Amino acid sequence: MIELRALSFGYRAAEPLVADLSTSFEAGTTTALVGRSGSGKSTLLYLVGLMLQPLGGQVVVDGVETVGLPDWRRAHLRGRLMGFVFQDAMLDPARSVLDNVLEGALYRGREPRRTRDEAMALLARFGVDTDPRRRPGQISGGQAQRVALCRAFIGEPPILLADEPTGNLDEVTADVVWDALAERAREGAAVVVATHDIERARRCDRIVDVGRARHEDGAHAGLA
Amino acid sequence: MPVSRRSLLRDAVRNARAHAATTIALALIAAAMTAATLLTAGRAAAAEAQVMRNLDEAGPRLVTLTVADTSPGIAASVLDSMAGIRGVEWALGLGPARDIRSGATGARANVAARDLINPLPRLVTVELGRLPRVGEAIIGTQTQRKLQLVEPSGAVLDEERARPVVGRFTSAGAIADLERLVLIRPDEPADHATLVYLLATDAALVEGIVAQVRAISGVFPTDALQVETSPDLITLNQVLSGEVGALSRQLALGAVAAGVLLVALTMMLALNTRRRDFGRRRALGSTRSALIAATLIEASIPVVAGVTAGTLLGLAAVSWWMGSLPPPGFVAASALLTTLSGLVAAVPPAAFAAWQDPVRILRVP
Repeated sequence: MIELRALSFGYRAAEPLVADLSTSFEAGTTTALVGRSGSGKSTLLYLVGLMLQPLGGQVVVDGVETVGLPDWRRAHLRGRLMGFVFQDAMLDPARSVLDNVLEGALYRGREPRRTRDEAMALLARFGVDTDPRRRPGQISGGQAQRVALCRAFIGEPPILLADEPTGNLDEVTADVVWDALAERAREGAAVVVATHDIERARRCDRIVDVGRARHEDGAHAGLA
Repeated sequence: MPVSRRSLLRDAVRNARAHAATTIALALIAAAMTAATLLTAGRAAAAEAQVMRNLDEAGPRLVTLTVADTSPGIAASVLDSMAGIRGVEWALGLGPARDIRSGATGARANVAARDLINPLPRLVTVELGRLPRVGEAIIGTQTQRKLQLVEPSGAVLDEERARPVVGRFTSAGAIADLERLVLIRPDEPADHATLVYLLATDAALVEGIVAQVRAISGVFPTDALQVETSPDLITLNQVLSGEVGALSRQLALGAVAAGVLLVALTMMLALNTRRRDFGRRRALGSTRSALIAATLIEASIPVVAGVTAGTLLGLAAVSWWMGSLPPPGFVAASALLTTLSGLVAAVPPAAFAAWQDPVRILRVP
């Protein structure tokens, strides 16, 4: 689904965060991006999400070589193929819970009015039992992250990218999020999660240690 | 896959409703900008239109040709050529003047009659009865009084021939004096005019028209044809339209410039508080152009509403203040200008927001 070929990136050319990294994120798998703070986990996630242009190498998404594509083509690919879950929910505080979920469908080119039922079903599935007309400021942080999950899942994008999605959540909600991501992978999506949470990272199919610029498949024993 | 226009529009409308404070502020600024434009430039334009109307009635656009009685007059074909001169709105030719008498008493009424050589222009309105057919006459409001007729009916005696009176007319503007005449459709098609009125579409064209008239009617001896214009009125017309127009434009530009600045500042402040909103949208797949379009649609809703409200308020105020309204063209142009200015002012803040680095925005808590 996503292939990184000899990828290099750094905010300063002299200090590369990602150097010559080659790996792939296949459909139907969960991959954890781990590493110490500042190692470049989130940066790699944003490179995969086509929001940063690498200094070298190539990011191939769904067979399309994206490096060098104009911004609008990358935005279209992102909207059509990817769902994002951010560390904090990043909901629009001025719009309703339902509108926030529907925003995910907007950029997939789907008519929000037609995806309303899907949005309501997702809210029910993730236990958001609040009135969908309420504003994000009127619900708890855990509920807000579940709403963000619904926004990422709507339209069933084949790629899910999550940046520390459970960093600010209680254990119960964190489990809900991780279980949902794993389930989405079982349904065929490529799920990539940048996380500090080593215990939960171990549940993923693959781990990429960004700081060490290597990737480990399956065996997680060496992780501290 | 691009966002559909319909979805974009619906989303922008919902955003405008969700961000009510910004929407209301923009609507108020647009309303104030439009009302200020109308109260300054609009008021000046209304005053200018009023002055120009009054001045126009005095006849700066009118060219009067008078042929000496000893000459045969201007032929109908020459009259047609004059009507066809570029810048001539209409031409009216009248035959020689003669006295008529009241048909009822046979007494002299000190009223002049002239034959109609060609159709009457729009400044002449038949307010009672109908236009005359061959051999019939219509009378002006003033002549009706002089002829002591209760109704515009009966007959007048034209060289011992009774002419049925079939209507009463009024004439306005530069040819208001026609009301002192009785106009007769002659038995034989009259083919020579001794009095010709030409109305120019613009006072500035009068000089050129006079030159062409002299060229067309060159067969007349110099002293047999008198051409009258109102050079002082023409000059006054040009000075007024130039100076009042310039003042109007300066006032309008001042009001619009202030509005543009306020809209841009409001948008900049409002969008700056929504940086994370834009970063999120970019991450979810919005292109920069979609983001700018959404922001402009969002801004256009209050701007259009504000311009509409401002126009209505401004017109009501100008009407109350001046007792007249600015010309419709000015109002439409002013509304269009303020709407476009409001939208143009929203472009730089929208573009600035769209070109922000979404990663930087998303990573700053």
